[in-house]
Amino acid sequence: MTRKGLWLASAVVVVSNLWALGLAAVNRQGEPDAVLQLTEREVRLVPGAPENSAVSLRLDWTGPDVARNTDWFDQAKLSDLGFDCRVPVTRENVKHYFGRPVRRVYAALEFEGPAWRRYAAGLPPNVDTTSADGVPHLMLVDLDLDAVRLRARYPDRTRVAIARAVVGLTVVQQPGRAPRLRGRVFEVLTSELNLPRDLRRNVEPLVARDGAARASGSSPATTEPRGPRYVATIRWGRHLEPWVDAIRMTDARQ
Amino acid sequence: MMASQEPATTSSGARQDAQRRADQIAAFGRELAELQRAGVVALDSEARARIERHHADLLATLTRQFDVDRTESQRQMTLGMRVASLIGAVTLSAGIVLFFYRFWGLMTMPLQVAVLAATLIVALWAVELAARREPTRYIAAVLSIIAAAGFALNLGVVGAIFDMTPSPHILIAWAAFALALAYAYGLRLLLAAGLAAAMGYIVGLTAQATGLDWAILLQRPEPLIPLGAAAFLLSFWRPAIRPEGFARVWRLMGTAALLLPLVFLATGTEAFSYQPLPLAVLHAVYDILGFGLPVVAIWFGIRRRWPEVANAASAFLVLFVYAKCFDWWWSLLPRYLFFLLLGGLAMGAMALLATLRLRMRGGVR
Repeated sequence: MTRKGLWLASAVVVVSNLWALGLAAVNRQGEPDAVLQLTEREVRLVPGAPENSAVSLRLDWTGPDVARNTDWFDQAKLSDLGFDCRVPVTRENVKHYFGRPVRRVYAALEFEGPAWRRYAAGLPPNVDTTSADGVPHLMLVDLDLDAVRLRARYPDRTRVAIARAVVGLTVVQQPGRAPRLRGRVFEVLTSELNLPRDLRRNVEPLVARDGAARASGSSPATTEPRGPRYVATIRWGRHLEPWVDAIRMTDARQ
Repeated sequence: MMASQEPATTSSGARQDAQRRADQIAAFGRELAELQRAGVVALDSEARARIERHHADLLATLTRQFDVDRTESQRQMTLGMRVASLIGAVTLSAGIVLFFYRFWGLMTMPLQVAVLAATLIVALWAVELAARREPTRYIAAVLSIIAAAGFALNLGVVGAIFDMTPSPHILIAWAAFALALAYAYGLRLLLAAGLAAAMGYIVGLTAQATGLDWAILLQRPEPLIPLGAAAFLLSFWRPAIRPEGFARVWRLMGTAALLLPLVFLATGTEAFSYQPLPLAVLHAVYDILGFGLPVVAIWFGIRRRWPEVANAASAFLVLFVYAKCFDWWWSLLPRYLFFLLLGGLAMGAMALLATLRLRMRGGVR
């Protein structure tokens, strides 16, 4: 007689897979929460490992740290996001804030919106913002505990995506100034997007070319600067989980 | 009697009983020889022959049915087989995972999901087949570990295919799978792993409920304390401990989950605690629990003859005392004095453990 545990284990496998497939289906059903046309700058090909035949795109964004625009991610914002900031921030108390665990919140990612234009206008001329390896035009502009409230502040679903993010707090200590708290965005989820097999054929020559360049010791970045080689349609579903819906090549792939 | 037809719970227990009987027979033979050499007892040749014949028949039966070890060399070979089977399971699992990653990108999405699920179901039935045909269950244990690794791969790959946000629910799915296999085939390693995953799930869920990223897990280990106590209590619940050796695993996991968080909570309360009470109260509570609970566990482990509990609690107590010494004195004492003090404490701990060890063996000096 076959053991009950074996049937139970088999049932766990079937139920888990059906559950995961169901969640994925619900996420992709109906109207997406956002649809963004992102270029190679914002969704970069992940270098393929020899042992992994899958191809994925990594979501790259410009955060407050890089944009040197962290003023909005201050102690008040950290408190709004659920961090306990009641202990006064002084040189004597500063250790209280070391090692605080990170939290999950929602982030607004804006593509080539007002935040990007302001940031780009303030950049020195030698900073690359146009080539495929340039600064991503996708800016993290806001955070909130409530996705609905965040979407209400950024209703344009063709320019702003709402995604989950992992944030933490840091203590900024500078000579001559009182220590202060600043937030930091560690990760936007999901940061690596699977490229389905039916969409891969467009980018496979690029994967092969990049791989060959890397193997020969030169990185794609050291070759002649070029524009983004593709534009990907990224959809964010009802559960705010993104996926690659389409990918089309640009003239710069030559 | 066909061991492979019996339910797993009694089959693994039957093998352990058979091995104990074989060991008993071997010990009896050695002791009888010593007694005869010392002139304490003298068996006539007929009685000796009857005993030897009976034992030979019994050992032959036990060997045929349960593949027991009859000599020290065989016992060492068995231990070697266990180590080899564990290494084999880990390396085969790694090979299968890497094999899948090598080729999954060439498959369509439905094929990826189908291959994963089908491979897993086949692995499960291979475990069943191996368990029916081999009483020692080494092959079944190896295949079970491979199946468990396969399920982890299944969950991870499905999440990657559909770009899903990592969630703590994968832990409870994996725990359910591991526990189901553990109870089906009496596999203690999978039981321990399943219990660890189940506890990790509750810890992660608690973190998520408070707005933290669930992956921080050990940065907020407080929920492990009641979970450890619950696991320890469940070690008395008959249905949970029917397979041989499972009670020990429940006790050991319960002891570890109950005591280990106290090292972090007593030395870094602010950093590791959810702070359900004022900090001053928590400092005192965790210090008292950190010193008191392992002492109680050691005493309990000796009284009830649970070496796994006594040993785990002893190890924890040593670790805890060192951690507290560092917390109290590192910044106060010169380094040489601090390490001399720790060395003295280590010597004292050795003397105490030697005394405890003697008591566990029932000896008195």
